[in-house]
Amino acid sequence: MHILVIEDDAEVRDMVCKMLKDEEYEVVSAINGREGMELLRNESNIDLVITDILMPEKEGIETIRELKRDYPSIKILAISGGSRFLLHDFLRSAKLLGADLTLSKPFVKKDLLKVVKLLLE
Amino acid sequence: MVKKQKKSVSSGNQDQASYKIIIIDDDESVNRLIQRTLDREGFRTESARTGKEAFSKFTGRDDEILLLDYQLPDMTGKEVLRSLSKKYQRIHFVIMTGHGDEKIAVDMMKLGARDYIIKRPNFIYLLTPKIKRVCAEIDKERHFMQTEESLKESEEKYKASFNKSRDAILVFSRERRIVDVNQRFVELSGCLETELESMHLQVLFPETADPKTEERLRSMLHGKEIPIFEAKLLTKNKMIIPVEIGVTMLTNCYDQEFVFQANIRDISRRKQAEADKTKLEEQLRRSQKLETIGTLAGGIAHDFNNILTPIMGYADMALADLPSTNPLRNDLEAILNGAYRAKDLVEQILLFSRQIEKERKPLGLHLIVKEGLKLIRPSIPTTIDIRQRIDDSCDKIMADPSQMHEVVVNLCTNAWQAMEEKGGTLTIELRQVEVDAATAKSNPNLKEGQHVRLTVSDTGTGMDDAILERIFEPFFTTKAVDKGTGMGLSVVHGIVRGHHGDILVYSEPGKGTTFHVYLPVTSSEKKISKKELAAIQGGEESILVVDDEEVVLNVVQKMLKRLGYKVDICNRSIDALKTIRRHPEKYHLVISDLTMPDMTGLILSERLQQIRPEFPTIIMTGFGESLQEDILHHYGVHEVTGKPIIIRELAAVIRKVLDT
Repeated sequence: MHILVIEDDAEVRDMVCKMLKDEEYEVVSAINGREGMELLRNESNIDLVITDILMPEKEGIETIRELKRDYPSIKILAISGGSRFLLHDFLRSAKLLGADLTLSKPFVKKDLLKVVKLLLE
Repeated sequence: MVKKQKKSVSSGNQDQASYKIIIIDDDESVNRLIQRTLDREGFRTESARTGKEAFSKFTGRDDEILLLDYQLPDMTGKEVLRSLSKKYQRIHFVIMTGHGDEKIAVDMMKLGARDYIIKRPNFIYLLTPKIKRVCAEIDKERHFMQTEESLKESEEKYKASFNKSRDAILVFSRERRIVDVNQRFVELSGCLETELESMHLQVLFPETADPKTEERLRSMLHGKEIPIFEAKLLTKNKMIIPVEIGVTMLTNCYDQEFVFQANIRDISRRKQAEADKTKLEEQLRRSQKLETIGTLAGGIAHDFNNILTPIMGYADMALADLPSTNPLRNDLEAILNGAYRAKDLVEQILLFSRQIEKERKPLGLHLIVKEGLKLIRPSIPTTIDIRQRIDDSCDKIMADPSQMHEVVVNLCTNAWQAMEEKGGTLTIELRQVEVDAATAKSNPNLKEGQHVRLTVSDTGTGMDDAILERIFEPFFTTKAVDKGTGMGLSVVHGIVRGHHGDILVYSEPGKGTTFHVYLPVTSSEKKISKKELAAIQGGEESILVVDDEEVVLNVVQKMLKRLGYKVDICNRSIDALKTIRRHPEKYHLVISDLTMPDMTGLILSERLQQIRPEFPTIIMTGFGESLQEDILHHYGVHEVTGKPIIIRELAAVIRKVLDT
């Protein structure tokens, strides 16, 4: 399974990558939405994109929207530290933004793996 | 051009012209001689030959002087005067007698003659100076009388203004005893005029015991003016009235060398207005401060979560990699525990800064209050008496139940902890109140209208102003370090403000504290009168309403029908889309819920735009501001209206969309 991680915070990005690599996932990463979209154009085998929502900035939302439009089959997991609002009603709120699931920061490995597995099954 | 000024020939002329000399003498030649002489000097003259003629010439004016010969054909000068004095009070006259009649002259002087003239040869040279002297004398008298008159008049005026003045006036002596007061002061002080007589100022103005007062008076005696100052007047009924006082020194009044006049103005209204304004500004400042802290804290929380992520994530992974016997596990567990605590704290900060917006629903607050009380009751010591007055019939509020629960538990916990040592009474009250215009005005965070009010009171330690000022600030706490984070009340504040309500607090050290939480009742249940409805603009267009909740659908349908629209409803967004595909022109407008199971309102709107560009859509949402402008625009949403749906707002939004 191939996963693209889009996250501007280097420590969070590295950690997420490590957590996934430890579980034998193929992982590539990008530091923002633009770079992420470029990577996607070259790597057609991505199954899941994990992206920071970067609320309230436009970039995260736009990335999700573009992903939905250009790669409707790729699953999207949004992670955010901004607000627990998204956590409230998982599926409903996630759908609102076009993400399949969301995860709020901070989280530990098992939290991440739980949602990743849910999306890739 | 320079006008040449006319120089008056004789400065005395004018004075003489102001007197009329009536010459009464039967000797034709003498009479004419006198008249000619006086005419030359500038006097106005008239002549009479007999006493009888004199009567007709004299009019009794103060500027007439009789130049009276004693021996007249028909009567004596004395008789002339006697009959004139019956009619007139003041008669100026100069008597003329023949040589040898000096005794008569003296008699006449006793009767009030201004002077006498003995008709010796050449007496005419003495005449003019004598008459002039008499005129000057009368002038002086008249001037004196006028001064006296105007003095009397001004005194009367003063008395009138003294008594009718809107300011209270008080005159006091050097010894600070009352000498005089006006009517307004009598009213203001509530004392009788007789009680005020000689009263010492200190009785009415206890502050004047202050040595400053003595200093002020002394400096006034040295000719210094003192500025208007504020003081407190103690009335007979022991009321304190704030006043403004201006003191001036008067000399030679009230038979004293110096007295002081105090003009006293009641400024209680102004003071009240000032106090209200200060209070309002203070509230505004405090609430702005909390907003600022909230924004700041919310921003920090976001970054803080990012920072916590690797701390927590790596500590957890390292822990998983270590064998269970490794002593480093304890250290890592400590790191992990710390990180979890930090995570909880950040969540509370987000609650305070209102960045957590949960979905709200109509809620009977009384249920939450009762449930919350049941939960904390076991932890409350038995020395605390719990009283509940909960009105079950209050209208519902739009609220998040878990957050309301937090408000109740937090306030009650604070209340009983304030009474933990000595015991006391914890009172919880819930009732519906109307916030009127005046209350709304003095509490900027409250809007007019029906509110549910939750009151939590304790009879515990209470707080002073310095503490009250800061209780809603995050991390502010008076409790022991291990007793709380200082987030409780700030979270309560954040929740209440997030629900468009307000929290007010009253406290007194040693007496206790009362918190009032005001939350607006949901207006969807409010009946709207026909008259009110008439003022709301409706229309006749066709509207499709989409919502997965039947209750909402029915309410909105009913509202729209009352407004005159043709309405269809649909409880699935997919079905709504199908309907529009089949009849793209049938509906003028789609009103849709935001969150629905198979397709959100946003996606529905987007699809509608594909069928018919610029298809008018309105989204109903309980999230309100959390939908951003650019998202709405992207999905082609025209307008958003908040839940609960209020007919007035809905009607306005519909017209806005359909009319532009």
